[in-house]
Amino acid sequence: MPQKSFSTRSLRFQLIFSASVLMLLISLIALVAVKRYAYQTAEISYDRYLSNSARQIMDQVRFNNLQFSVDIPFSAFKSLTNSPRDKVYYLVTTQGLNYITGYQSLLDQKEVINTIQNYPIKLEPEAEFFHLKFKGSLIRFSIVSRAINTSEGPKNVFILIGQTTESRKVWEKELSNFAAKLIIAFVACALLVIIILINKVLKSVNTINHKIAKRSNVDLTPIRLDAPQEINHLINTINQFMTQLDSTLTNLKNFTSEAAHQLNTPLAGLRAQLDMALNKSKDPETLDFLIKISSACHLLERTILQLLNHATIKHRYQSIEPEAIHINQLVKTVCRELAINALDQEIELSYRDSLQFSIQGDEFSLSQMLKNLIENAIKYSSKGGEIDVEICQQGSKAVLFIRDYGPGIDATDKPYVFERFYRSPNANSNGTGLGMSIALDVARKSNAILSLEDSDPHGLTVKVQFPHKFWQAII
Amino acid sequence: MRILIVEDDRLISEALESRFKDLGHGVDCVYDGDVAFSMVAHTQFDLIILDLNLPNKSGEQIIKRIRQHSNTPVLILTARSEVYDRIQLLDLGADDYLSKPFDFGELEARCRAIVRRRQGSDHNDITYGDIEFNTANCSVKVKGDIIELKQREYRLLEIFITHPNRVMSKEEIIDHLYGYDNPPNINAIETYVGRLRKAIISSNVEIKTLRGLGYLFNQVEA
Repeated sequence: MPQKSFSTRSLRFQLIFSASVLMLLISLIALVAVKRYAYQTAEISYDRYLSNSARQIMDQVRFNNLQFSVDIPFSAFKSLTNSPRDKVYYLVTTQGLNYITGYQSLLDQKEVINTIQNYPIKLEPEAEFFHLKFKGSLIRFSIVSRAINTSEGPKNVFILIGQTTESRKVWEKELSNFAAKLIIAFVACALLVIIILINKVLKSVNTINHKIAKRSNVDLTPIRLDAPQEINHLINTINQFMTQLDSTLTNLKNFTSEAAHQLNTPLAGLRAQLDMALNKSKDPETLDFLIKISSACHLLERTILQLLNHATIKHRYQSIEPEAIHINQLVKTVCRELAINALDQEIELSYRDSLQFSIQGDEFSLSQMLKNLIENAIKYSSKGGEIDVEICQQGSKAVLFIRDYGPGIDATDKPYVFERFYRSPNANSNGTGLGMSIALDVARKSNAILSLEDSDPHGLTVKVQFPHKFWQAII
Repeated sequence: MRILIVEDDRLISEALESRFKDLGHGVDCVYDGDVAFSMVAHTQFDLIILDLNLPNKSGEQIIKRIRQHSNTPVLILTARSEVYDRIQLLDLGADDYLSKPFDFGELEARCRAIVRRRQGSDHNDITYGDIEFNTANCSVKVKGDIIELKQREYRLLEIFITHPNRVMSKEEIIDHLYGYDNPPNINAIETYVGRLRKAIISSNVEIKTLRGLGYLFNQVEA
């Protein structure tokens, strides 16, 4: 099976697929944004606690007796205790990295030293923040500084306070999870609405589709449907096409009937005059010419008849509702019609059946098919020959056999028999070369399979098979 | 016989006129629907050969007109090929039709047949080959000699002789032969046909059996 390109998939699939991809993209961007927002929110609020604590400690730094002293207020850590699993580290130090109080080992960290040395000294100090890997866990530090007057002039004291990030991470996660849930719910709702809308739009397309599919193929009246404006345009276009097709078919029908009249009338005149001449002429040479003209005239008559019949058949298949046709009855009627003609050529026609069945089809076309097939068999039979027509069941198929015992057709010629204007090299009489191609056309339109086999011991067997679901036994 | 030929195509009309004149009939030719329309009301013909496509009046109108006045046999010539046209024509009261182009031999045979059919109700004798069939005194002659037939065989011969050159199915024969109250036996037909065949063996007419299709009452070429 060839790969379906996207643009030929169903409209519903295309719309839902595009909408889903778009919604997925939007939700991914939203999720990333939410994560970022949650991270920043957590950072800002936890950083504020840290810097507050640092400032509270900073307020308690004194310079007494030639040295710094800090009275760490309990309240400084109060705001940090909401996160019970987090550890808090602090350090108070001078610009010269003289340890005052806190975790002295923090002074060994390069990052801490750098931060202290690069800290911009301002009148109104601002808190700065940085991350540090310390004692095996990631810690967020806040640093504030203050200048304190000493006997040796103002000196900068730095307060560092840090906290492990577990609780801020939990909070960040909670925040982003909540937002993610909101986004997913929103996207789901949006998709649902989109699918409902798509269905609503496609419903009118489907309605047209059903209306057209439900019609018989000969109904060319306009479609009547109240639909949205856009769909109405489509309906109008379809209706226009159907009107055009209808008028083409009518023209074809008129043409066929006009052609029949316009061709057959002068031909009848020709035939009548020719018959009169044949009747009256005494000169053998003239008679010979007249006989040749007569046979050419006969071929012309047959060809015109077959061409008109073929046109009529084609037209009927597009304009006439198929009806139940009792095949056995039809075959017998056609056989009886042709039997007299065959007998004139000393060819005997026989019929037998072991199955009675009917099919849905057009009687005129089917009888033309049978006529052509049987006439063909008569044409290729030799004097005193027989033609067997048989209807039977083979497996699940209903089969019609028309067997003649003439010269038959070579295997190499068989494929060409159904071509228009093909004539067998074995033909002993003039044929139009149209009969078999018309028969094949009718067989195809009647869901039958037409094939050629050899008769035993020689001759041609035409086999018309009706597959299982296209015929109905008559009991 | 007096024959009216209504045909606007001169080629056909001329040929028909010449042919029927040669056969010894009186022939009138009309090329226009209006003329034909008034003519059929005033003159009694034995046979009318009528083309359908005429100037001024259509063939259908002329048949209607003919049927208002007489039961003259009418043979239609038509160049149209649709089936329902023909059925419509027969319903209108035409006796037979022939599609153009036609064979003269066939035209003559059809004319003879419809004239005989019309006369059949007036005359009691029907002749086929060398069989003379008399409906009035129920006698059958072969080559002039009376042959004896039983009631069923006589009825069977009547069916055949009124439907010559047609393959009659057994079902059709049964329909003609039996009343509704008489249960038909399809095999009995074979017996009757066998007997009839023996009875007319000396004639030049044969009853041919076509397997699966029926019987054909056919004159054997000498």
